[in-house]
Amino acid sequence: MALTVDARTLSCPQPVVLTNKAVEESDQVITIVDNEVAKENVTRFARSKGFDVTVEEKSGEFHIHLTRGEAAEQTCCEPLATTGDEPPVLLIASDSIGRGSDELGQKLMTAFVQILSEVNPQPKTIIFMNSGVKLVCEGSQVIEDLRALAEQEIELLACGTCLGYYDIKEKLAVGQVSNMFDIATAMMGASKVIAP
Amino acid sequence: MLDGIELPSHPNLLVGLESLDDAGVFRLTDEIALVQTVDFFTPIVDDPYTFGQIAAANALSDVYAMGGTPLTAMNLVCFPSKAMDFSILKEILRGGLDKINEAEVTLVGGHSIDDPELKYGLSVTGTVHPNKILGNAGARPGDQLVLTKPIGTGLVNTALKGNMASAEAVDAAVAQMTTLNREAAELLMEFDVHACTDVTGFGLLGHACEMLLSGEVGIEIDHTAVPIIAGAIEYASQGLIPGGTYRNRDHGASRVEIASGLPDWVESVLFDPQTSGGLIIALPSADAKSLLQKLRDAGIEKASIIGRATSDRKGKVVVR
Repeated sequence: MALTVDARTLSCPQPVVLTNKAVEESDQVITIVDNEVAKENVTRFARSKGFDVTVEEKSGEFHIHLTRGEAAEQTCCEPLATTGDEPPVLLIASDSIGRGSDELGQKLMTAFVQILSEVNPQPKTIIFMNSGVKLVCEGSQVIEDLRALAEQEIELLACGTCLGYYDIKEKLAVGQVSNMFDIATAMMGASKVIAP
Repeated sequence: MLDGIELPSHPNLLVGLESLDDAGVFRLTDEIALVQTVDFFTPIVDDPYTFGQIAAANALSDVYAMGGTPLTAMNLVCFPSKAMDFSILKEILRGGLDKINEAEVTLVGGHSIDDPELKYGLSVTGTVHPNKILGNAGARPGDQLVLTKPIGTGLVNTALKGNMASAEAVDAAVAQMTTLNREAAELLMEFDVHACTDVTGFGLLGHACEMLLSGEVGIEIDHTAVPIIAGAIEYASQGLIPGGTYRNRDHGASRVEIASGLPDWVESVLFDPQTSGGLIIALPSADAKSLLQKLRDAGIEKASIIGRATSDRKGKVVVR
């Protein structure tokens, strides 16, 4: 049964606060607001909690329908439950694997990335840091392989600071520029982090 | 807002309303110009003493941002005397006075009125050498931009209002808001600074737009280099975004371009209205690293080089 939150005339962040309380009690919430700012804020909040959102505009008011999605968090305070069956996060913190010979290490990394699409389970996210960011930039031998992985909805996150350090930000060929907050969130929320 | 009103002009008015600068500047002699500014607002934290400190630091900041030295200040008070105990006002004024004293500025008076909504701030007067005024708009292509304080106070304050802010985030925000820009202003005097402004209500990007006014430069900001108060990004993702952010975004829409592929929070955090924010300083890149080192050595730990002024994309702020 949907809970209705009447947040009309309330100033920010009350619409988000009240919606937050409502979603703890119900999987379906309708929040009513009377301005664009509140509509955007409640929508962002809902999506961040894994809810599906549709907005209905009715004579200057916005009725925001929230429905808890399949993978949503149960409450705002509990960490996402990890079952161990979830796909791992892959951390590529260098453009080479192992120590001894850089030339060998780079060949190993190239082979690893190329074989990834044939191995199970597939990662859900691949994080590129330090010299690992070279793999997602022009000149890398594995751009096409990474593009194929991206097409299967695998998230490719390249550390922005690292791209800046090597001065190759403009050469990003696949994946998206990320930051320590998103990278740390992906690692800490993962059931497994694999670093070849 | 001032459409239809004729803006004043005077041979001694060096900086007035038309240039969107931080304070007004009026020449008195060849060596001395008067700097005048005023700022007041409603409470953003629960503790009255801290509120007084923040409001005072915020008001004094505009003088530092012009390259000036504040000398005197007056209190501006709106207080609901029937609904609130005077002891609260006393604490606010005590907080303000301690900050004023810290800046070695003299409190010379003030004015209070009864008002259902509590507000506090200062009118500040200072001086600056007419040839050494630091305007917003003098940046040159090739300059680097140094930011002296992290951003995100608007988001933390909004989360605080909703009781959803962590103690760590609030402490970090309060520490930044109560820090005077005095030391940073003194350190930058040693360098050939081309432009300077403080980051307040229009957010980092709004104030960066003010630096475009000469038409001679474009500005590029590296979002990964911008120091951000802990928690602010999370609050942006949760929609704990103050209304001012959306106004700032709409106002800056024609001049700000955020590169595609950047995380969603970049827009909300970089347009986040700041209270008592830091200084954005444009200076030659050779000097930027030295200034940064001096700022960090002086304990201004979050100071960072966040971008540069360019000769292409003039009149635009581009965020990568």
